[in-house]
Amino acid sequence: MDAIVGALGEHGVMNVDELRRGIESMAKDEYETATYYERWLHAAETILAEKRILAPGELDERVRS
Amino acid sequence: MNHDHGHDHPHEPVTTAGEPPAAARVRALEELLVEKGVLGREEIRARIDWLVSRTPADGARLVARAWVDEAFKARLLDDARAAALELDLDPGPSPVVVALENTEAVHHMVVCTLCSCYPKALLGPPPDWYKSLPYRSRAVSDPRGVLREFGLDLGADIELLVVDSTADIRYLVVPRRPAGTERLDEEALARLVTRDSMIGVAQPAPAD
Amino acid sequence: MSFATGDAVRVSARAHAGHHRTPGYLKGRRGTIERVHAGFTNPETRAYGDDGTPARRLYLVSFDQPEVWPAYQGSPRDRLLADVFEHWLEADA
Repeated sequence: MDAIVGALGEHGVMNVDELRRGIESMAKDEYETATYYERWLHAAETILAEKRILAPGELDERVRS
Repeated sequence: MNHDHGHDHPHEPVTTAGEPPAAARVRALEELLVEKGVLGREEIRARIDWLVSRTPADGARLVARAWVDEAFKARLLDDARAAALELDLDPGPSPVVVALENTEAVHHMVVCTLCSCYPKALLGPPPDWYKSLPYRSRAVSDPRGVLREFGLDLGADIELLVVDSTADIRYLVVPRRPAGTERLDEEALARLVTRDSMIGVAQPAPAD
Repeated sequence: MSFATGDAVRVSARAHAGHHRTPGYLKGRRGTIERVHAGFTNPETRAYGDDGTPARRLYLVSFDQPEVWPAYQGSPRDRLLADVFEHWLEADA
């Protein structure tokens, strides 16, 4: 997850402040039960969906397949 | 990661058995991003290789050099990023790295209350406790209590400075050189410098 | 408003919607400029995809622990240092 976030940063797709905003936007109970990198995953999904790089449900579908 | 599917029976991959569910999601995300041309598979591999190669040994080299060379120490305290480059070390992507010197009067301790920023390039990945909510909240409000849990009891005459790395600057503590180490060379000194002493929650290992 | 090492400052106590890097526990607290860092891009606008210009000055500010935590247990000379952006600081006369 660290590598993905770093690479997204290098490509100008998602910067570290967007990552932090994504984490800060998590619901409190979700935040508290998530692990450190699960929070990064949540933030990346939020920001990538916001930027329409990921379509809604696209990642869920890929995980299921 | 890719293995040959020359055989024709189903199997559960050994490499991914027993993983937490999030790991599958992370892999799926990586696949999607690579397929969409947002990221390259090789660059992700290269980044992972870089991250796993980071250890506290680089930070320890900076500290050991500062202990034996006063002029270098002055340069380190002035601009730690430049000092790291001087020793051919990778200071990491942060534009500013600051080294904080512990003295007989002052002890520094580093935390990132807002997330868990950490000088990974010079110290390797942060320990779980550093990223935990208890550390992030108590390091600022009850630092002496936290240090006692780490086995470090600072005297009342020592000034304790807690540094909260709230922005993009990375902080590294230069611990005090242990007593009785006058005859040790730089390499031996570097072996005494622990990761925790460069975070500021412990002193370096004593000389044998 | 630009500060120099040694200046007395106070962290603004205002609310702020959205992402920002000034911790709640420091709002309204009085401190002293310990170090002047170079200009940094603004994380508040970078968090929304902006490039974060114009750059804002960043300062390492020193606070006495008893000023930050009324019930502080430790030496009264203990301090807390944090990086605070210029637009979150006011001069403290």
